[in-house]
Amino acid sequence: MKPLLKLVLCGISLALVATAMPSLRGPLLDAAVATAWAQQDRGRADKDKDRDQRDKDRNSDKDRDSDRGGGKDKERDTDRGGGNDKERDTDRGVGTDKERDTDRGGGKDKERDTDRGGSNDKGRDTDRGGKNQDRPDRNNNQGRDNNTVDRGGSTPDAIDKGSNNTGSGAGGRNDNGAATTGVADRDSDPADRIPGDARDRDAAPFAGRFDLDDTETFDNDGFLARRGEIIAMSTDALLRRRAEALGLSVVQQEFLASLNTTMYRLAVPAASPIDGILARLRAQDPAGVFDRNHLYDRSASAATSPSGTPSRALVGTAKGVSIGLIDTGVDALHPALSGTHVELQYFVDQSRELPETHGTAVVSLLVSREYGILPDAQLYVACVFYEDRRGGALSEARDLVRALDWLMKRRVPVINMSLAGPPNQVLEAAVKRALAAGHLIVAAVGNGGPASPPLYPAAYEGVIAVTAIDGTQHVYRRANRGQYVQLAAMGVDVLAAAPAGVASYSGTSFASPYVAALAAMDYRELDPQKALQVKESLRDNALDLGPPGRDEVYGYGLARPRPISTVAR
Amino acid sequence: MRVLVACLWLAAAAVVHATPLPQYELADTFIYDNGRVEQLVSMSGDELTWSAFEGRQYVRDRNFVVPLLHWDTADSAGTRQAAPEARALWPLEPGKAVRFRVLTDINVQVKDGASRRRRRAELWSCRVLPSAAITVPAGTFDAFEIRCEQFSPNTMRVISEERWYYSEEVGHYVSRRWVDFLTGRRGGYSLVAKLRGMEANPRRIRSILSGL
Repeated sequence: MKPLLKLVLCGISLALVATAMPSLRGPLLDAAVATAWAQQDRGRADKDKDRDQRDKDRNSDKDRDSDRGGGKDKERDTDRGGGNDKERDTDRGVGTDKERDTDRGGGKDKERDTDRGGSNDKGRDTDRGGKNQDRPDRNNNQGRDNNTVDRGGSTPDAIDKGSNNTGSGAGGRNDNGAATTGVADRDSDPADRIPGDARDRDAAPFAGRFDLDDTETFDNDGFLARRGEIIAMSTDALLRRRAEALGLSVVQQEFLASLNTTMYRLAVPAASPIDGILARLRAQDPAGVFDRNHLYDRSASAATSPSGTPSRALVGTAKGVSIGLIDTGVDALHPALSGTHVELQYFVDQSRELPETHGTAVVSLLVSREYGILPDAQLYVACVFYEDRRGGALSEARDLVRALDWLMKRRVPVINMSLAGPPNQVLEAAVKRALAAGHLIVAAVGNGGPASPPLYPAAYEGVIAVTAIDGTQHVYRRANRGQYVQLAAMGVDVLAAAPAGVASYSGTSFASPYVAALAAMDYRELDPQKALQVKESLRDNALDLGPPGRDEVYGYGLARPRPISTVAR
Repeated sequence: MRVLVACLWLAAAAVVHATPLPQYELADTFIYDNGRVEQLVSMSGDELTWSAFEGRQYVRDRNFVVPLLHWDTADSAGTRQAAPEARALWPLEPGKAVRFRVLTDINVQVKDGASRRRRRAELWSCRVLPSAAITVPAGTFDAFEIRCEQFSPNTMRVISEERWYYSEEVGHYVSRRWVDFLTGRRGGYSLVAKLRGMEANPRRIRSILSGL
């Protein structure tokens, strides 16, 4: 009782001194709180005292003491619940034998093995998540029991700090420099095994969980794609025959004159290994390009009530300027678009519900007489989106390629793609050919957020990837970031046409048209050399934002018009 | 009067710059470079239920510096109660510090099917350091460092240290490092990617993990 009283008095006196002397308040209050805490736990510590003493006697290893800052065994064991070594080892379940032996001060192997319920080292290390990955479970130590079955990965510390299910690493490295175990080890614990390689087994749950329709699936990388479909760009006259030999049926075949290739849409029978078939097709026709028919999303958020400021025209009239858009449909009868020059071409099954809001907004941003930045410019809109069952809008990779071909055929020098999605080899090949032909392609970086993996086509080399900023020149909070970001433009609370008149829109979708407009003002005829100059000019005229120089958030910075004196006539 | 106005202005500025508790959407998924996956599966007020990749679930406070609030595995189950002072850390501001106590109840499964219940206290002290740029595999972000120390309830010796790097832009911690002074072990992990909505499907997660 006496020491207890002393502790209480000590705590109170420290607190009083701290109150009287403000400069000492921090440290003294800390000490007072510590004293109070120590007092609360003293009862428990007393109970453990005898057991700790035994532990202390047995573990007098100097290394361990120095590792732990010279703390007494008694303290350590009290902190951890007061178990002896035998018990503690059972709960820790991590670390190599060598480390454990060092920590323990040379505990006998026999003891250790008994504690572990006779499991061998290999099994233990695998199950418990690899060496050094997880630190010992302090939380469980109080509940130590020789009969405890502890697989390491299930301890609260392992759950809290470990990697996946088993608490193993996935090729990571801890601060001690020790490599953690590989990805394969994640499946080492049967209880935690992720359903194996039969990928399509999880297709049904996906459909429910992600509300997929019968024609949608996720590919093996988790990207949304048309179920059971392969698209191809090939000049191989034998492709049809080869495809049929693999059990595929050619659903559509279309010659794309500008891309100088034939586009195929191949149906893969249900339950066929689509990745294996893709590999076979690629091997048989190395010059051809094959991939899944991936699906792409618009890069925009929902419209909100108008709150932004309208954009200002870059020029009085932009006659002679033309821009291509690959977007949703457009409400040509919208009042904001009256008197504009917009040519629409649909590349999507028109029996579906076709959205128009996004396309109408982007078109109005560009050519509306009230707030368009390029009034009188000629727009070519390739409509590729359909409304999905989740209320969004999607486009197939195949239709994007067909749209590109059409815009190339129209010789539209600048093409804006306010959409984002997965990498697709067929789309990539089409983009490369368009760039090689001298087209400038401007794309929204996507709204996946600052820690999102790259999205395409913006992340393809040669594409001008545009991020969005707000009125204070801060990046849009949902904009993607990465080394591929090239330019920034206003894309938050942008006023544009909406079904009910005007609305504010946010997203990288609404930033990229501005950069496309800047490029189009200087680039009116296809010329690959001139295209490079225009790209350089856009970079050179950008207002550097963020850290000096190019960065992953703003790229080269805010895109700005060239000074009047240098604008090409 | 001027002093009063200046004080009010400073106070207002501090509020403006303060970083509030993170806000999440269901299915938000954070993937770290050690293979760790945190996927938000449900929210009940500030108690968030996270799932490892198709695996165990656990409950963590929105104030993530507080140790896990609830877990339930084949081997052990436990709950924690954190003192309300922990919440005072938020909104984050450089220099802010809190001390809090966490009571942990653990049921440890023993071999014969019975379980043993234990209770222990954890004492934590956390402080917020100024925001600085941190580069992780997911990118470079401005992040507050929240440095937490766990004290021995008996000796008040620091027994472990946790460093959380919270990026307001990402809305979650982008890196976490820890040192266990008792064993000398240290470790940590950093953010590789954040996925949202349909992106956060198991195949996408698996694909990113396989690239680590």
